[in-house]
Amino acid sequence: MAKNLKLYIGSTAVTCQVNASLNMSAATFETTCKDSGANAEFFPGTKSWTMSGEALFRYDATQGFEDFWDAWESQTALTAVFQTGVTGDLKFSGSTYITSLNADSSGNDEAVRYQFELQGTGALAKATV
Amino acid sequence: MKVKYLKQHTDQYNFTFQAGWTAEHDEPTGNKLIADGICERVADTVRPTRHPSPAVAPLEACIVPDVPVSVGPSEKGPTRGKFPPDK
Repeated sequence: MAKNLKLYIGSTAVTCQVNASLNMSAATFETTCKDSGANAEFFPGTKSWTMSGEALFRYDATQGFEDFWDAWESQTALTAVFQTGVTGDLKFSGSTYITSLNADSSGNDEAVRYQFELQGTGALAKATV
Repeated sequence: MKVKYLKQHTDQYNFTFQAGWTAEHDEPTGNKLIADGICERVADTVRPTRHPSPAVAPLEACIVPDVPVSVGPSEKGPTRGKFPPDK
């Protein structure tokens, strides 16, 4: 599954991915009062989510660094999908903005890589491919 | 599923693919593109690229036309056909 679970931007998988991540969190606020006894209590607040990934740098990638750069430069929202692409599998998707884009060319005999982080805006939807 | 575009196509996300490009899509998207004649399926080992794959040169392209080789009277070079009779 690791090889198939990828980040897609729109309908297209990011070319030559190395890593892909989906991160979700929820803020909480404390509701402890004198009636709580010895235990602190919390209530869920706003939820947030991000997606991030890393891929090998190629100028001719169908969905690559240049596309991320264009979206970063124009501050365009991207639809990001975390999925295997296999019919029947679950997928998680939503609208995102690029918050980080890095390219790394280390040493002389290593593949050039780039990393990106996407901040989700609005709901993260669960559906079936 | 990886596909090769047979013609230019702009998807619902306003991303335009040119003919010859290869891309990876989820199965429902890929199957629809193939059914609509926009793409053809390619191997999963193909790396998606914006460059059309180069056409394979036919075997005959490297064959040199059969041209007779002429040599000077003092040279014994390769000849085609019959040797002239010894005088």
